[in-house]
Amino acid sequence: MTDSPNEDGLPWGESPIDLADEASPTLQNGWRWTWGVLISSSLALALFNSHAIANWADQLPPNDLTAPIVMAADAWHDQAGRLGLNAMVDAVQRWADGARGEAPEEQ
Amino acid sequence: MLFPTLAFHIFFLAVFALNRLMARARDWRVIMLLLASWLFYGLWDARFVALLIASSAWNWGFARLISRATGHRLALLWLAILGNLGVLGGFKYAGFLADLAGMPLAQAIILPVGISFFTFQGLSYVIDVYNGRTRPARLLDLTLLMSFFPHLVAGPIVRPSHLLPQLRHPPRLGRQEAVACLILILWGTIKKAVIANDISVHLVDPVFSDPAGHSSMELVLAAYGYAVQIYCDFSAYTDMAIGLAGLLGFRFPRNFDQPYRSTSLQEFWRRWHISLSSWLRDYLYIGAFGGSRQALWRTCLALFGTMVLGGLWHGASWNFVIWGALHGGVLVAERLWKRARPSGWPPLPAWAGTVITFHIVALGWIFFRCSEFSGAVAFLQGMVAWRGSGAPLASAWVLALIVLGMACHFGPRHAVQRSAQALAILPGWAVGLIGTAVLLVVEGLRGGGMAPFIYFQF
Repeated sequence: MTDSPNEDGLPWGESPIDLADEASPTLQNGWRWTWGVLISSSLALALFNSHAIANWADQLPPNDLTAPIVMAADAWHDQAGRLGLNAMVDAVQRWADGARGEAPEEQ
Repeated sequence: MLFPTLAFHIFFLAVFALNRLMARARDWRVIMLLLASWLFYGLWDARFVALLIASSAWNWGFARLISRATGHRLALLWLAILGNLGVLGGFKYAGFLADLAGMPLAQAIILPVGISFFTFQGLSYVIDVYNGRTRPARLLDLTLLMSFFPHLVAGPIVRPSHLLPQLRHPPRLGRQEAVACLILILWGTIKKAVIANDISVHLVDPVFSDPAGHSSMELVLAAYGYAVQIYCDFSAYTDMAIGLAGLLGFRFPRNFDQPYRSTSLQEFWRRWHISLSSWLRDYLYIGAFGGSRQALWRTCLALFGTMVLGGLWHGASWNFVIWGALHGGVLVAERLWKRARPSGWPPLPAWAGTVITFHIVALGWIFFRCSEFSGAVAFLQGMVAWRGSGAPLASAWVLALIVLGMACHFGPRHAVQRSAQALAILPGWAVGLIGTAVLLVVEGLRGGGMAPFIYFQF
């Protein structure tokens, strides 16, 4: 059995990201637009999700190199808590703990 | 490095930036993606990066020999296949075979993450070159095909003929495509971090670890829960893989298509882990066993054998063999019934077919989830004994997650694409903030920690 090689790669429509041709020129180049999404979401997450930064830092192997990172991450988490930036995650977490029938976790 | 973690977020931002900067630097871009993929894999176990490179070199070398040879091409193909299967067998089945022979190994063999996936990628490359379905690739391109980090550890299995031509063109990314990728990554994060994780921690793990200590109703719920968990876990990984590859300018094939709405097991396998089921169909069922263009009994044997081997692909355990045999047996029964069914009989309503198919699949998952045959039997005995005891384990929260995991099978099929078209008219920062709000809710909803993806073990 010998088939001819497919020169175009995956046939159109077989990927879930395949959409109809994007006629508008502003929609054609998505790189800059995607940068906007990634940068704005990364900054917003750093601001409002200090939980994730503190958790990540806590999992680093303890040594002289990582100690300042862990301290900075914990300090930022505390500061964000004082400024009320963690309020959204905390509120959802309390609600989820209640829904699971668990005692709320200490923040 | 798991996808939905801060470490991966930082890693991916760097790769995304470099990929854009090197969009027209063809080979340097491939080299950069290759180094990033080895870094990603090396963070699990750096020793196995060498295995990945050796496996790529093996398949590249044999494909070149096959494409240039005038004789003995089949012998070269078999040698290449045996090399691949030898590595897979050495790591994955040596312990199982030694146990069968009554000579258990003194030390357990560490299984390289994703070995089944990259071995199958290599196998399909040499077979496709032999059959003329793909041209021999450069070592650099083939190594990236086998090592590319979005699909390296748990698929989807991307065919050489689907990915290699994409390396020849500069990457393109339309805005709607980008939104579709971001939605897939977000939806994957929700399915993994909220639905699969919570169902696993609060229902499936405690019940499956001690079936005798739970009521029959809890065992039934845990079986349903595991069906939802494995779907949400595995489809989450491939959704994220497709989205991440898409943001780097690569189109990966769909791997799941609302599988639990299937009205037959044959349809289920067109919707579940599509890249593996189509691999098994093309290379094993048709390629090795002859497919359906032969006597009925041989077709049935081919179907059954393919599913048993598909079960064994998941791991060296009798329970995977039983899982494969159950699917193979029902697929054969469906095929025979299609022929034998009296023409005057009314067809089964679609909803009944969906219910029956789902329960066959859920039964198979019990064998898939239990590590020992005796554990699966104890679980099934507990279900049919209809005993009641203890306080109910499944909270309304877990039940709601199971319902949500099932409901997404019956939503609109093109929801991702339609949402992408709607969101693409917004500025990037606005979509970024919407995504952040969703991720903050996910962060609050998910319990502590993140279990590895189920399919990492295969």
